Amino acid sequence: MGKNRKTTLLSELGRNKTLLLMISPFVIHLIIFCYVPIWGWVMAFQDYNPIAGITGSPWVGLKHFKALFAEPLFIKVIRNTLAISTIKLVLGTTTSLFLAILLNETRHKYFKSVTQTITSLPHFISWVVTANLVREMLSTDGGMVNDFLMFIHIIDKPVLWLGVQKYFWWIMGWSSVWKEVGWGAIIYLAAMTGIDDQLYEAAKIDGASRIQRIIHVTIPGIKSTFLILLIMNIGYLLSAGYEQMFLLKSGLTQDVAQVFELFAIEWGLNKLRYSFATASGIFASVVSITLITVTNKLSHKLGETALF
Amino acid sequence: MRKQLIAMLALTLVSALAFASNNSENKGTEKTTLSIFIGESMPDYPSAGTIVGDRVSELANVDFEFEFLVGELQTRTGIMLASGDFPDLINARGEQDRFLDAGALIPLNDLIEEHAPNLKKMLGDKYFEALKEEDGNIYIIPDLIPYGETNYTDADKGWWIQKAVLKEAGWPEVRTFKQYWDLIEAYKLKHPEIGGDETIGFEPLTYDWYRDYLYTAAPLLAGMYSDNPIINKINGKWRVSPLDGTDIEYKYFKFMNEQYNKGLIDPEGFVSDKDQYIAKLASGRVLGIFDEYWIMNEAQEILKDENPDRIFVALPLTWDGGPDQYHYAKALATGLGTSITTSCKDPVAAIKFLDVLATDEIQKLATWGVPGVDYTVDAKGKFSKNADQVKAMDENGDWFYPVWGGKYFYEFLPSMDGTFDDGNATRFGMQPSVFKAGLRDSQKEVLEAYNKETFYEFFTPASNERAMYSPLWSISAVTGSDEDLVSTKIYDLRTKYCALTITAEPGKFQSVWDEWMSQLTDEDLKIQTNFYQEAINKRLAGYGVDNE
Repeated sequence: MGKNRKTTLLSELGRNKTLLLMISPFVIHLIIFCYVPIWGWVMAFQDYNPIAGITGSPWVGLKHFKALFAEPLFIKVIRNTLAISTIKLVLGTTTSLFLAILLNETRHKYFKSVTQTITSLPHFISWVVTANLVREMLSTDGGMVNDFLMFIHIIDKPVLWLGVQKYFWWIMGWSSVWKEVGWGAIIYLAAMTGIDDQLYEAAKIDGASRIQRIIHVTIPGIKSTFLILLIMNIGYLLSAGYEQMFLLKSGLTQDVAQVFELFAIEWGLNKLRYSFATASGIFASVVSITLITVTNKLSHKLGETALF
Repeated sequence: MRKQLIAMLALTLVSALAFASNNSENKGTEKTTLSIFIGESMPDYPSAGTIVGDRVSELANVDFEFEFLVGELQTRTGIMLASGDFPDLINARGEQDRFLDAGALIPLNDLIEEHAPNLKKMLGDKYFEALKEEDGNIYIIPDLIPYGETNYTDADKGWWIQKAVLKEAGWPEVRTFKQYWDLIEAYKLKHPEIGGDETIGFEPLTYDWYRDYLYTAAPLLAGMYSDNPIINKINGKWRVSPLDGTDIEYKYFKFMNEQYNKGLIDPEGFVSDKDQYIAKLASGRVLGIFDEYWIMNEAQEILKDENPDRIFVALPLTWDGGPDQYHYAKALATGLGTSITTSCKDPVAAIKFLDVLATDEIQKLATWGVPGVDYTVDAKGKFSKNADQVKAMDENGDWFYPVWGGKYFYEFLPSMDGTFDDGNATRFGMQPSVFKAGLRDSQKEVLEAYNKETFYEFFTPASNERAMYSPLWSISAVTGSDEDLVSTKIYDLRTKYCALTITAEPGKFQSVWDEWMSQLTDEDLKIQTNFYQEAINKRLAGYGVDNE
């Protein structure tokens, strides 16, 4: 039996050698850049000193993990990160989906491609530039947002949007929507082109209105894409995209702007506490893996598509 | 496809050959090439050489390869440290101590004694001793070395007020903080708009580390020196005490909060960045700022050209109008500067290079330019520059970096700061004749109204009393140590609460202040105070003063 299996495995490998050869560069790449560096995790259990190296640094057990969880900032940082990520995820997904559906329904080809280009361009603008745009837009000194709101008499004097803590997360959310909405819509649009036209025709013949066609054909057609993207994005909940916060925070909003990555950089790497930074990195990875597994299981349980 | 491949291969081969021949060419002249890292961002060093650089290269018989900072300093130096691969000479600015701690720097005492007479003279015996670390060796040569007397001409920093405000009030003698705000308030009330836009009473600069100036202005108002933590002479010894949570600070922030609630301070200043700040100042509708000369000057230059009546004048304000300590003591910033690393194969060539830089010839070439061309020398040996020659020294011009290149060798490599032996100022801007020639009519009007020769005269002259322990900004705790973490914690609280106290709504000030104080522990303050006390004791001991 064992021998038999061995031969089948070998012949299987032999039969697929072209495919194996083709995939090997990517596997090697993955091993070198994703698996080998995991050895660096041992730093988290040492008082790592770059000059002494991993072999020369003393082992300290869970000291750095304890320091991480005992850090008074920790809870606040996790709260900010989850809040900003969730806002970004919900806003980002819904707006991208909405835009994709609208574009999909657009029959005018030229208008469609122009809109798609314009909405996806901001994705390529760096956050440094975007942050300046946000600042200018929200300025109390002739900023577009304040001027407009005053013009339609919603407010009677300019609001210092970036200086008020309760607005900060939402500004992060909406500015990232502006930047990513078109980019995010591309993948949904691609999924929509995969839907069989016959389904639309059938629905049309059955007397479905346009809205009904969207609800009963388009949305079910991209459900699996949507779910897979959602599961993958949930894995990134602990990375809220720190550049944006770093560039737009101020003394007034410091409490709500400090996210996990910023914390790990400011209190880890910048302080040369490599071990502490590694411990934070491990913590984030563990949380991410747990989140992905749980959502994946959940999706499975509900009888929907799952990642693995 | 194949043709393209061959063409590409050929190209690679050709460039490789070119590179190889280039290398052998360098060997032919037998000049040592020194690699120099400077932790400041500057334009790349011109490959064709510069006036100053070529002369240095000729005198020191070396070539040099500059690397300037791209990206973040901490990241760049971190990579260097982790790889153990250093340039021959390094000036890592605020991160220099990391290289010292890592054992990456070589002692310079003997090298200086044997090969660098000019450098030795520039340092003088006093500084030569003060530079010694605990093990008796010198590792770091500071950037700007005070030399001779200094003629100050401009204000270092102060509460700047728009000239138009002073003029309208009939050039009053402004000495107290309250007087300053009353003037601003009255002017803003009378002129609610300047040039069609709302008048801004006071524009705070709170972006990044620039915020430190405004947030530590409290001691200055009390007639003290602006150290944070506070340093006072008690029974003949310099004693450190915390600034955070003192009555001096309470009074300052409470007063600022009142001005804020009167609508005199621009709320946007607490969220905008430095560029927005400069743009607002340059628009001419800001009446008051608190800033350092070298930061706000960018806007001042624009105002001088476009809006001469709205230039700023710096005032030394105190609560009671008494003597002030706004001016910095002229001090040697030890701990920062240039070092030779363990990777340097030819330390003698490196120290000789630094020695050539320390000669009068190169120092003058790198600050004034070429004699007879960039400046004139009169019969008494005094240097002067006419308006065109001053204008040519514009950093953004096409001559400053690409052709002349003085800045590559001055300020971020060991340089003289003050007056040369022949009585000329090391920086032409401080030469009285150049300062006078460069004054605009609008500035002269101010000086005449107050009957002063320079803007510096508005201030109490700098006392050198604190020179030996100063400046505090070049004292930094070892990165990642307890002192460092505590300092960061205290600093983060400052960043948050200085902004929150000033912008607190009417009646809320006390609760915000109390919240700040509740998060500030005596234990942390004590760690900070002790750290600074030890650091200044060590510095003073370097000059032979016992401060224990």
